Amino acid sequence: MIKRILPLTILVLLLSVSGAFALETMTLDQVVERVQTQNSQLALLEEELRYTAWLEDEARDTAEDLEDLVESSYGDKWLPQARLVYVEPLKMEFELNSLERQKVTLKKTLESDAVNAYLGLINAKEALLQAKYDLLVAEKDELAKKLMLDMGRIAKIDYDKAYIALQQQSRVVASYERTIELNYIKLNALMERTASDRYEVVKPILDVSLPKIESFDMAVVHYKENSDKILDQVEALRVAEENYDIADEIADNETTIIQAERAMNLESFRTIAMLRSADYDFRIAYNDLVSKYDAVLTAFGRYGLSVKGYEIAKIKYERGMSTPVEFLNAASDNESARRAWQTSLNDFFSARTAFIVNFSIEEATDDVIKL
Amino acid sequence: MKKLIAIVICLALTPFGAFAAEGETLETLKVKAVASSVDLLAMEQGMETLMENLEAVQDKEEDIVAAYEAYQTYERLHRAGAGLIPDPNPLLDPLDPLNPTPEQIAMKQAYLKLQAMFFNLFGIQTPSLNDEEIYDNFIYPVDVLPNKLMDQYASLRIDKDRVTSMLEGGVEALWWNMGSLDTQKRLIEEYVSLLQVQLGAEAARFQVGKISELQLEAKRLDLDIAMRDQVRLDRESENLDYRMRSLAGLEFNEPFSVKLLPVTETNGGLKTYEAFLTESLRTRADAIRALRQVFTIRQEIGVMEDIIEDDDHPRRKAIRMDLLRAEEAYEATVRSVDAQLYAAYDATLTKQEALLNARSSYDISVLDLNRVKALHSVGYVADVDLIGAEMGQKQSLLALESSIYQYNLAYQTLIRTVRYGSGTGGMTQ
Repeated sequence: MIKRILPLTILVLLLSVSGAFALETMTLDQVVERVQTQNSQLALLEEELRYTAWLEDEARDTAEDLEDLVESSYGDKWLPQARLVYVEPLKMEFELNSLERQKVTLKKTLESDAVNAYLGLINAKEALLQAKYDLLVAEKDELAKKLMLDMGRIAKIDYDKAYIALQQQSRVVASYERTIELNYIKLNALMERTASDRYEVVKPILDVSLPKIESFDMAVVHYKENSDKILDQVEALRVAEENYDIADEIADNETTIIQAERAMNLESFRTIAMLRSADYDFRIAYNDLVSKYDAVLTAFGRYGLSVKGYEIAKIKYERGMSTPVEFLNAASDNESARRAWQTSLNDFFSARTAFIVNFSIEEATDDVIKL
Repeated sequence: MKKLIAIVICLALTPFGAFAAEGETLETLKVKAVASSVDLLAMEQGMETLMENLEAVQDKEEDIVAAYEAYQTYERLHRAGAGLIPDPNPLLDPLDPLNPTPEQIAMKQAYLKLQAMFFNLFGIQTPSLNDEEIYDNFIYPVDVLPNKLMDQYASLRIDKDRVTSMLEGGVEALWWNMGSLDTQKRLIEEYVSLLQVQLGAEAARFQVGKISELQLEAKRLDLDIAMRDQVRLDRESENLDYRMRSLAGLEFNEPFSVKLLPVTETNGGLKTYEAFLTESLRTRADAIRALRQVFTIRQEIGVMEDIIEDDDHPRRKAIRMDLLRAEEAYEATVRSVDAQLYAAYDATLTKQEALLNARSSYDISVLDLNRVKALHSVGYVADVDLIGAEMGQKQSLLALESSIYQYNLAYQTLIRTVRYGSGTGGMTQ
């Protein structure tokens, strides 16, 4: 009995902890913190903010200098100067507002990217583990088929199939190893670390909870008042209105006024369409998120069933009622179910983060289910 | 800012009588989607602006032609030495041979007038514009620019037609999805009730030790999953509703209902690949635009060659390069059309085969159910097996419905690829 249990069980255990060398460990929180403080995009945005603030000052100074000249002038030829006085400072102010908003959004987006990359890396590591199980099964199957071929119990073609399956599985392992490398590179790029840096990642405890939304109407209004793209659009409308006012007052060419009015109407139409669409976009995204939440529950149910199946296969194997290949197959199936559950959990977590970022949700608390 | 947003929200929420949205049909929704598209409005306004610019260019055409004729006269007078004719000496008799003749005086006066005019226009003292400047100032605005503006206008019109068709295609795809989901919802409802009955039977079998607890748990899980699928379909249906209303530009609080028809298989067999490819190259906006670009540049080359005769002039070289690029772009478009069409055609054929398989499976499940029913009626088959056969038939029907939907979707994607290119409108599966 001990002879039967030891080799495979130890192998399964070894596979589960393989790669656990004494490397630096980085938790998800540490990764997010580092990304939010070290990422070069943020530094660039800070620089852009300073530059735009300076440009805004310059625009205001120019506007003050030209104000008297423009006030007493009439005709299309004065439009560029009038725009410098009335439109340019407004545009620069809006540009500055937009950059401030982008900074907040960038921090949230970086958090979301970091979470995705971190979970992606964990997924790839788990996928490698699964592929190693399958490789082990393929190796054992190939050995068994070789013996059977030598004994004349199977045809050469059946052995060849097992041999090819083994080769294919080796390539699958190599491909997951590459995926892990790529995920490290992606995560390192976000954290501004060198591409070759390696560290251990710790599987975070992910809570399965939907963002708490007391009232959809209020949440949509909040989204409309805080969404970057909607605020940018409202400001674009404001600039178009200012352009039209100037053209109406100064231009002597009817076409110039008509074109300015046309541009203003288009921006107005665009703003209304965007606000209308916000009602739908919010609810569609929330429904999609709830479906991902349900997928987690389904995958968890399947995993629960699979654990029981695995336990039965283990007992059968330990009592000599099944072959090592059958036991490894059951272990692999169980790992598949666990990975499917883990993937659905990661998907949900990423989607929830994206939902919170995209729809300006302030908090994400509800009855938390720990799975 | 919040005040401004509030005002715009109020504007957006103001209901329009023209948009009452109950009992919508496919056609009314298409009309609404086209009417509420921001992209289309932007294109229409762009076309109006282009037309105004074209009119402005045409208004200047006579002046430019006259200026060019004047410049040619200026050149002729300069070559004839009009600028060197001395002014008449008032101390001499006007008929004195040392004084210029009246014709010469008139020539000189005309010359001076033209000199002043071109000095004002281009800052030149003599007719010294080179071929390139003549082309840019007199030829390009009259012979090339209007054609280019017309071309841009035509291009925008093609885009407008394309966006209109895409919007209509999008509405149609959503419409199909709504119909298909409706059927799926009905079928899954029946499937769930059968599963509930079956679970009851399995529970009884477990009680008498005929099945294991794990098997019963698996059945329970099947029911849970099916019920979650039912709720997921409700949500998907709600989302389709939202997408349709959003596309049709309807306000969120407006009442909305549609008159759906049951999903049927797209009629008509598939044409040959070659027929689709020929049709695609004739109708797709990107192919037409790429070809037009080649023609426009060829036309510009023809005009430029008459003025800038030097074959090695940088402008001639540059425009020949433009022609090469345009021809290359056209060829790339043809290749891209071919690749996209091949993928869509192949996908449609695959779905068609899958549909045939699903239909065969359904036919077999119906036969099986009839056989089980007959055996059940004479007491040879238990209730639970009859329920199993009914479930098998429902599952086959669901698979068949799904295959019809997948085939229709692939067919629509193929038609959209033929007309507008891939990735236009509809949903991906």
